[in-house]
Amino acid sequence: MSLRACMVSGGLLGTLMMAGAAMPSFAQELADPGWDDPFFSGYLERERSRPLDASPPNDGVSFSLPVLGFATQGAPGAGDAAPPIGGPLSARLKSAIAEWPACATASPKVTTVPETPEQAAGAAPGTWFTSTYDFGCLQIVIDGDRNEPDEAFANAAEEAPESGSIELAYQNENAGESIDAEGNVASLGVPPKIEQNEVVISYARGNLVYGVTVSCQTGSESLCASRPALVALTGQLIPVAGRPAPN
Amino acid sequence: MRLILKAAMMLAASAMLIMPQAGIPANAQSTAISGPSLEYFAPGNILPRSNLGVQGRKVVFPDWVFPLKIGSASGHHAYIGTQLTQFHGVNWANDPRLFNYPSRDNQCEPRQWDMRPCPAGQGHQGVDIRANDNRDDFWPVVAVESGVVTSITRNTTVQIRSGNHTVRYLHMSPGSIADAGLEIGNNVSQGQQIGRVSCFLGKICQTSRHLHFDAYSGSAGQGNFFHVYPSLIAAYKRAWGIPDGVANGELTVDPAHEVGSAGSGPGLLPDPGPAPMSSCEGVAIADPLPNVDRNSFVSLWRHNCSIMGLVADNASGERSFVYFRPKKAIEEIVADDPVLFKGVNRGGEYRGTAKQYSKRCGNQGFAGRGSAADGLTTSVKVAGTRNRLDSDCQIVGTQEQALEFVFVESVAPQPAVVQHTVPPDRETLSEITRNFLAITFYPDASGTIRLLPYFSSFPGLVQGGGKIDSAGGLIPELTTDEAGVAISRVWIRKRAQFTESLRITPRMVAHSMAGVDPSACDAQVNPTEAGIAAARSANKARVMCNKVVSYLRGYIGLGGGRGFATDYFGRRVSSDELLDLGESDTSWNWMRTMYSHESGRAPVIGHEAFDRGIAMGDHYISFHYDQVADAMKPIAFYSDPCNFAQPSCGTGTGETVVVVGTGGATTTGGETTGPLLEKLLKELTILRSKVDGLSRKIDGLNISTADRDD
Repeated sequence: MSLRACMVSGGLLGTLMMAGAAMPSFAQELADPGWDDPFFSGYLERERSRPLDASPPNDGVSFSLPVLGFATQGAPGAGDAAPPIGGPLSARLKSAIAEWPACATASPKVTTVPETPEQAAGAAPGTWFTSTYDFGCLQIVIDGDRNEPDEAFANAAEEAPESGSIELAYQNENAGESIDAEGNVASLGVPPKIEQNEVVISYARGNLVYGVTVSCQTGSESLCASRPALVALTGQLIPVAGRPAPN
Repeated sequence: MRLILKAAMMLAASAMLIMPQAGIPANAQSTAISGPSLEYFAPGNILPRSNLGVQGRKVVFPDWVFPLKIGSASGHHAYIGTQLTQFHGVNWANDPRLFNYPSRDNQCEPRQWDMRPCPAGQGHQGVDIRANDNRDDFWPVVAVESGVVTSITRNTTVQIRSGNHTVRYLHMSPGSIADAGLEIGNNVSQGQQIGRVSCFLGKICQTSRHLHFDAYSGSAGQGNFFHVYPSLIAAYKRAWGIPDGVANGELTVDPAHEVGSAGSGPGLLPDPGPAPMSSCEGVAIADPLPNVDRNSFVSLWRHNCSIMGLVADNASGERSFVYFRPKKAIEEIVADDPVLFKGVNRGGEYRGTAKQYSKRCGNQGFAGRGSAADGLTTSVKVAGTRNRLDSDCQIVGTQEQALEFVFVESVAPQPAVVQHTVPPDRETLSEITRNFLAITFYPDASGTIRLLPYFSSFPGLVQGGGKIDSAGGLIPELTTDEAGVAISRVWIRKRAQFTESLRITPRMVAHSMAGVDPSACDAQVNPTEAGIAAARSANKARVMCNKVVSYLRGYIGLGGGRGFATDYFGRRVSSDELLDLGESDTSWNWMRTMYSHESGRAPVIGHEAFDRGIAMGDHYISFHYDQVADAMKPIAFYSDPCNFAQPSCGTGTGETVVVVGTGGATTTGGETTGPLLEKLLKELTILRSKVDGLSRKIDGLNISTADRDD
């Protein structure tokens, strides 16, 4: 079994769904991911009509939570509200987001973990995912997890965000200090440096809160600096893989 | 001069970077060879204020190795600590002096990142770690545990997942990650090199040379970051062959290496018993909600780390779980409507309505039912199906919701007003002397004990009377109980520091009683930087704050202390609660709290005598401080309930009046003094005061000015 992740440039579903593979048992409790959210209904409808021969290879992973991502060419998961699939992803995002960087590659290199049970990192395979969309000067990392968290982090009813809500948080490592390559700190009087090159977006869908980490480099900073653009970008996410686990 | 120093440091840095033979600068070599001894601050003791940090000592990851190659195998060190120069007073973030012990927690230091585990609700997600020295792209970073690489961004954030959590390593050089052969989807082994320490942020070098390290549960969007410092300290010690000091899942205090741990006092050391393996350790819990009465509960329970109260009516079977001390993170959400579940218990089955909180859409109820788990009474689980809402507050499905409550403790019945039974005897020095606050005066350099004027001029003082305490201090004796109350009133109104006359907080009174400046101790009553600087010793600063802790333990029950205030107020009193002693009941409750702290039991005076003593104290303040010559009445006046229209007037049950010492006239309830006698007594009081003043002048000129009146 290859330890390297499969690189997929098209829809994830075909490679990520698995049927019948033996799974180890895991004691970890799993949250109901909330498949009955109307946000997923269009996707589920198409899933039910998907021909059986589209099942993934035997070493794939069957996701029991909605895997969010961008509609890429050939992906079966585009929801009703998603833009029509056609043309490179970058061009479609550009049409929806004014700040979409020109330096972004036309189509991203998409990597999703886990793609095999060996990559499940000790958790039940298919209960979590991390997908990276690499556009060159910009990476977007999307992760989701339906494992119940440690008690200290338990999200009870009092904290559950509404489906569709979006929160942004910037890394802010230097706390406004402006530091050059040698570590010299800008003298007093220099305005605090606003770090906006990496932002983590909390995106609630169904019963889960997904993470969308947007990492901007030279040429793409304006995207990371624009909250409306990041909200619009998040709004482009659709379910691209996953299927409710049988009861 | 500053520019020259900076230039010198820059030169030194240049030398480090180009030095041949492994490039180890002389100072770094000597550092490694001499082997500086490990020192570290306690978890949660962060800059700029320790009360911003997570104080918990739970070692969440007991099997980690340290993320840099350090320890006895390599002889290399690493230093956990803030990378922000603003906390170090330097303007070079890679200053070699910063690569040094002691290590210090810096999770939760001020940042804009929402961090639920941090007391402030925001802060740094993890810790920053400096390597053995300040060389760039040189020191190997290793995986703390085995896992799968889930992402690598060009900002060089490497994420490695293990089980249900993910560890993040930030700011390594891109080349070093490539050199390590790291790619998304790789399985990595514990200890495997994954890169080298550098300064990358936003694809270029623009932070100090350090490794940012953190770990979170679930998805990145949930923001559930672990407190990693205790786990890292334990791993660091193991790497050096030092026992990691992990017991019962927690990092125990290590006097040999933990800064300021020696001399830790009551209430600040971990409990000697088995520590709970609770993942709630370190989770910030709010103070009791203001609109929730602890006395309405039969027991306290834990729910997702919040402390809940159970209201139970056994006649009707009604049961309610109510937020009492919620997690800080949800305090604002639940404060206005703290009842999480309300229903009935029928034969062990709970049925009722649970609450779904939503700031945006308003709170909604959903039916829940359940029972005591496993037939035990120590755990209750209630489950139901709640609506899922979208951001427009429309219902978009349902979600199963389980609420689990774990028993913590019973709540002893506490009537709102505790019956005060006056002890029939007098045992302690404060009781015998009627100096209920045990105001004490210590010998000066010449060995002479001198009372301060406010006390020596007090007409209720027994001249030459008093008791010597175990430290050689004099606890002066008062003639009557009312005089004892009066002098305590004078102390609280005129002598107590850090308070605003009769508007006090328990914390400020404790500082005043202990003689410790409030700036010396933080909100958790741990020494501040200012306190350590003033004391010139972390241990001395700790001892000072422990004095304050001692009072707060007795007053309000800090750290499991006696907490007499609960007896008298009928509820918990917080350390920063503002109490107005101008209000009669508050004064009675608080002063009893202070008296009881000194005697260890209920005060030996009743309410009526207290009120008369308060009047006497206020009159004396007018007389002594405000120079109102006729403000004071004769001592006997304050012992007569009839002069205050008190219920016991004429009943013969007025509190006992004991007059000792100078043989002044004595009366008990019912007998009034005539105008002439009253006038004579007042003049006698004034004359005595003047005589006392003259006596002091005659006694000598070296009158002590030291105010050691506690």
